[in-house]
Amino acid sequence: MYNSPVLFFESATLTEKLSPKTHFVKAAIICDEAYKEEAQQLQAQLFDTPSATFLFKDTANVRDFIVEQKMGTCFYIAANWDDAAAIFSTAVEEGLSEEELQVKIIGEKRKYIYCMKCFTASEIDTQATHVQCGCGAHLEVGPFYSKVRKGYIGYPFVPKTEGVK
Amino acid sequence: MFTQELDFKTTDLDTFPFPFRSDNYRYSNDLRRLEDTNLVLITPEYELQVRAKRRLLDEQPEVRYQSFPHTMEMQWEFLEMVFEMAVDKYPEHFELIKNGDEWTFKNNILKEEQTFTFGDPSTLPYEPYDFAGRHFHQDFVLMVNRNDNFYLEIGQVSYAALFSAHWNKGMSFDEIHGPVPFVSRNGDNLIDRVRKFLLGINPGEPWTRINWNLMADRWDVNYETMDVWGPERSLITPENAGKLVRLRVEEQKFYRMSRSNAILFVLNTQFLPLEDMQLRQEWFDLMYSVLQDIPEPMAEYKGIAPFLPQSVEYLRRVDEKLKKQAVETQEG
Repeated sequence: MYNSPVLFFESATLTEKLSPKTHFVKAAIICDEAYKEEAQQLQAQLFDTPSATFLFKDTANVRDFIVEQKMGTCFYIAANWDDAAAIFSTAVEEGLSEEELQVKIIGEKRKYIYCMKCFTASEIDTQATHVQCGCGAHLEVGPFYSKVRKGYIGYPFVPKTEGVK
Repeated sequence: MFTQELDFKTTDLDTFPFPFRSDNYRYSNDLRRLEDTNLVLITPEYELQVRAKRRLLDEQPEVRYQSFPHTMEMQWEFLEMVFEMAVDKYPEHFELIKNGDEWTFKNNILKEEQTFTFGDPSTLPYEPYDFAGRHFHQDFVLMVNRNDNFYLEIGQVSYAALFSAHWNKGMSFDEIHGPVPFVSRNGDNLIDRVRKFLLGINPGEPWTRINWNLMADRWDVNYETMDVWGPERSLITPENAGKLVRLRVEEQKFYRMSRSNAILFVLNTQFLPLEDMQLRQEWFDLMYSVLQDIPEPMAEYKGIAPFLPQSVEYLRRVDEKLKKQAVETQEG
């Protein structure tokens, strides 16, 4: 569905540190093999909670791992942005909700703006407050995200040096 | 090129939904049962406003009309509902002839006739919702009921106030209203209350409320044209505010669709320039009092902060003049 959860800059599922969520009977850890210490640190906090771990070099087989898990499993994901976004989408496609997912991004997060002049989304610096779109429009980075448009709203404005149209 | 060169304003003041009842205004849950449940309304400005609406739709189709492909059943439900309402209320202006699935709709005001197969969108020049909506001056937004919320799945919006059918497509009621400083006098979250209220609306029992704004020489302000109307707001002066600043009143009507269970938002937008407030002294007095008392966050949210002081100053000058005239008449 168009309003299914997506991974974006301020997703509720994003966390700085993976930590066990209560009310789940099992944990499933999906972790980039290059950062397997993330999985190990989480496992150390799980104590008696049963867990399964999937260390990957590429995300090709992650779907099989997800569908094998039982109801009541919480999924913990540690990966770079692109891999995490792909795994997140796969999890949602397989029926998981945001409450069942926790995501730690290794490295930089990505942020996208949706230009209200040319109706396209493009990646921006995560700290930027104003940007210029490829179409030439000057945009103020708004606080609202659209799952359908896949970006934060970009309000068109005229820079002061160009004066009033 | 998108044009703002529209020249209609409400001329029959009896049909203008003046929004103020007291001399100060705060957001409130002012929903009430709709007495006339038929949404079709022919005003003296009908033809002018419908033609303007169609022009806006043609000039900016991506901005003004949005739908999801899966909404087709709901679109036909909407078409049937509004055409039947039109014929029921104004049989002299509208006709609907049904011969099985072969339907003919006649709009005698615009001298238009369209025969189509009900259920087959290829027999219409536009999607069914878009086609039907083009015969009436209101804006129409259909929100689908899911997960105790409403999601905007079809929108035909020509007179927007900080709204965009394109941007808001697919958003929930909460997401659309998320950023607003909507709290009641008691500090309640009004958006949450309104959403819960809408959940309880039954088919055949529509409700209504009135929203208002001021427009600075514009008929609509959407996100797509912020770079145009944003700076223009500061061009308003006390000298030109009477003509250029218009009270924009949005009479909102909410219908529960009986087949899809969606909520149809019907937005009847009417405009009255500040200088016309003098036509009804009571309206002028209320307008002057309310605008003097608008809290800054509300002015910012409504987008009127850059020209509100000039508008108030215009009304103050008129008020002073009217009082002076009254004294002179008394003395004379």
